[in-house]
Amino acid sequence: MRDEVSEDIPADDGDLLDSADPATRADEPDEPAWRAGIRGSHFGQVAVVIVAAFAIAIAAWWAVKPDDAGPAQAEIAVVTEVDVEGAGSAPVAGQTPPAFTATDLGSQEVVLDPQAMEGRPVWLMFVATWCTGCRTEMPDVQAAAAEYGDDVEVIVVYVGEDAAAVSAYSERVGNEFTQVPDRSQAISAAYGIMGVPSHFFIGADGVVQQVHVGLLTPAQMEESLRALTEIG
Amino acid sequence: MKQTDTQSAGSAQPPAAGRTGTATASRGSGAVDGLDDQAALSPGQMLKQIYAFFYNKTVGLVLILLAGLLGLLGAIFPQMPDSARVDPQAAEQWLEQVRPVFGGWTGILHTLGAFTMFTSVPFLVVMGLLAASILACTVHRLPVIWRAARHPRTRVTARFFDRARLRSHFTAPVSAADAFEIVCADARRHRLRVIVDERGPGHNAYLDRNYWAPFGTVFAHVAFVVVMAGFVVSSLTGFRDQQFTLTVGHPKDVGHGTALTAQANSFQDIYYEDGSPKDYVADLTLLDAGREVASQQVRVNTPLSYQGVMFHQSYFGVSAVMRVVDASGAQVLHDGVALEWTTADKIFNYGHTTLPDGTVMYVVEAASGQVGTGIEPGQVRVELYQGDATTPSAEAILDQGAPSVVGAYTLTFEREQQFTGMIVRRDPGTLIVWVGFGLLVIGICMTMFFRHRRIWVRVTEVDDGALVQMASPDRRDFGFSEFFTDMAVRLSGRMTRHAERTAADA
Repeated sequence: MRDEVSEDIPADDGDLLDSADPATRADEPDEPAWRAGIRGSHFGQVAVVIVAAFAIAIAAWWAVKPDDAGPAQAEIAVVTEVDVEGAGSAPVAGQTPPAFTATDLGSQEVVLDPQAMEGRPVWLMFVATWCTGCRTEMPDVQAAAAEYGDDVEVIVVYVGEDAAAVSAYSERVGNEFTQVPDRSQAISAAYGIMGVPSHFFIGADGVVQQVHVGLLTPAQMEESLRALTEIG
Repeated sequence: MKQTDTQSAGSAQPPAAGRTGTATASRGSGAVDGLDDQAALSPGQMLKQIYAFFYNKTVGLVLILLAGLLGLLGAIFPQMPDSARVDPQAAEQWLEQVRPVFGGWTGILHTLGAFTMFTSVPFLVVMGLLAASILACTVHRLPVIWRAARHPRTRVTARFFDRARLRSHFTAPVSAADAFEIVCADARRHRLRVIVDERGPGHNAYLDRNYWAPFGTVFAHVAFVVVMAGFVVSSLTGFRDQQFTLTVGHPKDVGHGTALTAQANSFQDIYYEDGSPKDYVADLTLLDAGREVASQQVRVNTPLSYQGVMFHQSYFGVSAVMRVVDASGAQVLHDGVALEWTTADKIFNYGHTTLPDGTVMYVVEAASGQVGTGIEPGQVRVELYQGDATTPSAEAILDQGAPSVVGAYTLTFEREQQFTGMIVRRDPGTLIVWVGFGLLVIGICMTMFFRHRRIWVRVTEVDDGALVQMASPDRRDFGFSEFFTDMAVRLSGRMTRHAERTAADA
């Protein structure tokens, strides 16, 4: 075998033995060993890519992450849990709700008897004065009660609160519908209340039409009351 | 061949400077300190030196480490929200919040940009230099890669076949011409590019596959710059308001140089029976200069988009709707104050807004479930602050619906109302960033999964037929080693069968 060296090829052909990267062999023949090691290692290249991708991901995260500095964000309590002793299961649509007799803020007797509705549907609510969600929807309840008061009886039951607390709140905000303090929680237990506000729309036939747990928008109130009066 | 050109291109020493040095040495005199040489640099030479500086890999490495260090500092120090950065008063309030942690260093750190790291001058300068370094490296490598791909070196020395990482040789009972033809045909059949070198000795060919793969490094390098450019475009021309609160029924200007006004007509949160959230829906209407331009049910994964401005549903809560009338009887505010914050003991929720004269009004109410707090149901407490004062200039507890004079204002707490908290953003650089990530993926795939494979073949006539020599300097990964070995075995077999057929025909 004859060994030949062409005139246009350097005698040192180590450049063809160093690397698979054409740029490297032409660019930096004196490349440091550590970098050549990384270039020459599949694992090294993958590691470099992973590190670079990780760096980009960190930068991207810091660019888009929500700010966590500053005061703590208020917890949302649109539905506030209540602990009613002896609470049964809540009536659902299609069922007959429990009957009750109570006394409202004006010392008037309030009776809800599904067997004797006298053709008047009822919007029964369970709320609390200390419940932010309940208070938030109260002006809309007031407006709806004013609009549908002739056709629907609105009864608002305050879970576990006495007449004094309810009266103070009611006078402050100007509520003008039937309000029942349920200090003993007997009514709330009968209706299986676990969270306030809770809404029961009871038809003129004494059957529950709709149940909503949580805050209602004016549109939802309108829709439920219209359905109640149309069927009733 | 281009070897000489390549080496000169690869030298970080400008040719002119080299010539100057040579001339100086030949004269045997000149400035020992080299200052005259520097002074003699032409603008072109200066540019070349700057270019050489930027494509120096050590410079690139230092810049990467600097960028990483600044990024780490940005991660360690709390970062001021966008909304506070553009509002001096909000910025001051934010600094007050972090002052207990950093004490006397707060002002110094703020001046140094520690709290606004990712928009600070040092960070942007380093990122700009890094982008220039990446571009210079890319531009510097591109001709080299191009030459290697389009005009590869086809000739090697004999020693190469004895020293290459992968090598094989065998003799076959066929003529050198036939053997070489079989090699080339087999290579083409297996999708290898074949470049025949007509110069001897023997028959020589250069075979390769994926000669375009090294361009993947160019794609990957450019991708970094594109991603950086995307972030810069977004930070310079976009905005991000993470606490844009809209009280239901109360329109609010978006600001940030837009003429947009947003209004939440309603907000509804729906839950599963186990109490976990099912859906949050804000019915949003958008006005541009007073004209309705969009209306949509905005959900968490269904933002409203208008002319690049995105409205994302983020959070929700309860506002105190306040009416504020100044001493002249003019209404200066009629809007909800989002009670989006809570005190450390979680007894009170509060929010604040700034009145036109700079007075900051805080509104406080008892958190849901809290009783005996001094703020009864149907009441809020308001506190007015002037400038940077930490004690209120006036405060009062307001009954719902009852106007009260507090300081220079008549305040009315009208009602509690839902608010929806939105992230409002305009990110013109988003598309650019995605393009950058796309380039990065393409570049990585090209580099990792389509390696440039090269094989040099030499076929020479020997006494008992043809000597076939194959060699490659490429890395010994399993796939290529297997391919290389299979090729050698396959070629040997083909040549043997070819010899048998030839003998049978004869």
